[in-house]
Amino acid sequence: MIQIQSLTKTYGRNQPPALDSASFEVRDGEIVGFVGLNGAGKTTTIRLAVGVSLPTSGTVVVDGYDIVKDKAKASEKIGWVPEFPNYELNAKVKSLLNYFAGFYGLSGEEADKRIKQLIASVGLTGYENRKLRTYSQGMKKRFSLAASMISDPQNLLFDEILNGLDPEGIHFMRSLMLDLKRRNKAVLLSSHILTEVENIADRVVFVHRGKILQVVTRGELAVFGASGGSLKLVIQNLNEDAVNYLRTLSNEVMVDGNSVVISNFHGDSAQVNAELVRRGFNVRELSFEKSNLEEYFFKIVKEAG
Amino acid sequence: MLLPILISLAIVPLSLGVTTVSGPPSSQALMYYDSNGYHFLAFSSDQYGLGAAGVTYQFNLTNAQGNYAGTGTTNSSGLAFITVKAPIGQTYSGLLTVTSSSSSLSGQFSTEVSLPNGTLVQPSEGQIVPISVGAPIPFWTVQDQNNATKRDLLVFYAGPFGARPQSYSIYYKVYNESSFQTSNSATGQGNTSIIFRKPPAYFNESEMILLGTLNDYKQIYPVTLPSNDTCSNVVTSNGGGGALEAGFPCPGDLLIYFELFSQNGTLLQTQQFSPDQFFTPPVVVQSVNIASSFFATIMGIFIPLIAIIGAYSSYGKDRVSGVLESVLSRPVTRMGLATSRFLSTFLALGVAIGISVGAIDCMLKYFGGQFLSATFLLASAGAFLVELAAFIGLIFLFSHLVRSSGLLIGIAIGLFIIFDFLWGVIVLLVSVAVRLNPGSLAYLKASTIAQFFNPAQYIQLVILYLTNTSQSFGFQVPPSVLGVTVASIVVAGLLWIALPFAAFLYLAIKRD
Repeated sequence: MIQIQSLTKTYGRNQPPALDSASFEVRDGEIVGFVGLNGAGKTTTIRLAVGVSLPTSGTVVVDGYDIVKDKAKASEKIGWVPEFPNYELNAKVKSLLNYFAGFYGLSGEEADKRIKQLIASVGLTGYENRKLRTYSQGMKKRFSLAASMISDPQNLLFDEILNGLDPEGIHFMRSLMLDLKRRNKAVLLSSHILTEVENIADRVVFVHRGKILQVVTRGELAVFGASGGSLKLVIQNLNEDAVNYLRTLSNEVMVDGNSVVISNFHGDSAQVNAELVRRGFNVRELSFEKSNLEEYFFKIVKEAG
Repeated sequence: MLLPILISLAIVPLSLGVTTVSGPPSSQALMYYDSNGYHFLAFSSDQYGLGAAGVTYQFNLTNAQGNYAGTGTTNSSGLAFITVKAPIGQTYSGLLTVTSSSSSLSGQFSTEVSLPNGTLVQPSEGQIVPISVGAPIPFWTVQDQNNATKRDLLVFYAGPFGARPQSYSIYYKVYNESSFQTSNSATGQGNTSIIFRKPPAYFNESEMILLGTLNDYKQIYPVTLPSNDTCSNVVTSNGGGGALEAGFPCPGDLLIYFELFSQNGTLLQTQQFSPDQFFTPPVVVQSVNIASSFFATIMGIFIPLIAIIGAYSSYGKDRVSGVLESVLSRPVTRMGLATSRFLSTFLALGVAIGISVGAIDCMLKYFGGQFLSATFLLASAGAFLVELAAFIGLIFLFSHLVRSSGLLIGIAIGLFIIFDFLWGVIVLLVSVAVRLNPGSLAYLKASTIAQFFNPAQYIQLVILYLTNTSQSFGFQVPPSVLGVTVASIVVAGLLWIALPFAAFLYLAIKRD
């Protein structure tokens, strides 16, 4: 279990805190989604929880051990997959895993056996004697996953682990996390892919500008979801007329260049397409998603201002 | 660290060879005259007594009547035959100029010879007159080619009219100038005193030992003399109740006579040497000198360099690139990670330095004949370890102050250049700015104190203390006058080890 209590991180004296009195917990046997915009404080929170960054104030307690005061003991209980895996590139994968295994008291046959299992479980069999610099980004992520689980920790923190993965990779990670949950592990998953978070998370923590906005359960999200979906368009000759028209469909319209996202949309996407074409607009892309999480996210972000 | 060992393999023996007798070739000349004028036989040699070719001799003879000159260059045997067509039977003031590729020297001489009573007379026709330029003549010592601890005797002479000597004999004798006398007082107590005897001008052939015969203009003789730790030729006397005892050590008072006799037994030349000129293998001094120079210069550059490279590779690179976080996320404390990386880097490089210093000492023993003293060796090794720790600490420290590899490398290079190459310039500029005369004692003090603030020059402070010399200037100043004492060196060393490490550790524990 990971308990984060009033965690604050400030990087500079005259700068607003990157994380401001964040409090939540990740219990054993659950997957907690951690969502927020870029720069909201997700990675900062995870780095503080893992112990690679020092908090300005507040505490992180991992299975009863303070990550600052009892760093070594707390770290034994944690596995971390960073957003950008950063390891010694000239090291061979198996050697590096052996090196990490030493920190947990694993050595010799026991370590070899464990490493072999891990390498097989992440699909890197046959590549273990290659240098890390020869790995693709996806392979590095798999290696990072293996490295995080070398001691079979009770708590795992995944930072944007789904980024850059193909559908097979996403499926693999999803299965893995569900398996971890079944084994009563505590899993914290931060991701921009809200649909995936929605699929597997038991609870979702929303962070915005360093503050925890809300923590909702899957059930609460389901209740919220009755209200509509998201219509996403890419309009080549988007102008103010088009935006004004689209604002008549919902009061939650976000424009970014030629892309438009209409949240809380209840209408017929085909009709919208036809109307835009009639008005002379060139609709390059159109998609409709019914995502409770995404809608909820934008709702509370908007409320937060 | 293999590189310094390999370099020292080349430098140390070369240094030994160069240091023993280095510099311009030795140059001597002999003169005689006949109806054709004044003839000079010149000889130049290297430190082993082997002929040095290409040395130019110019003889000028001047008197009220005129100035006469002759020039010649030595051949492959080191000999040159030069004639100055000056009217004979007159007294000239001579000037000899010797020019080689590395030096030039001049000396004045007279065409007259000095009798034992000091009177100057014209030599007879064909009589050989030695002309000394720098080295004594006709005997002088040269480095033994096969034994760096030994010196041999070189004899350069000619027969009448410059003929090649035939069966000339060289004799030697070890003479003790002093002896101990023990006298018994009325109470029966013994008092030992030293009696000094005036050395004679020369000895007869029968009193001396044959060293060899001379059958050429120049010849080298190995000289094996009795050990200088006991006196020889001690006189025992019972007069006045005193008794002189043999076997007392008196190395400072021995004289070694060398005399040259012609074929018919006529004494031609006599010369005295001290045993030091044959016995002293300035190996002990040489070893320390070579080691001092090597340690202060070559090692003084290499230690900071390997420290910087080692520290960057083992910690700095990982720290600034973020790779260290993959380790920090493991069950390890910040202090544990920082300390273990520091110690492992220090120990690995420290062992390499220890092996290097040991290898250098072994080479000095092999080529020079003697190990360095334990004090010198341990103090030097300790100084290197201080430098090592300081530079490792500095790089570890800066890796917590910068965020990019390029900047860290730049700082590392900057530190190396400033501390190893530019420090002296900086000190000079500051001294000039505060109006310190660069040749003054105040400047020497300032520059020595500045060395305390430069970890790359710590070894120089230690060597300054150990050798009791100020090496940067041509005069000797006691190290204590410059603030170099055991206490100051030890304190400086401890601070250089502790401060960078402590600062680095603080940042490693307290900051991201």
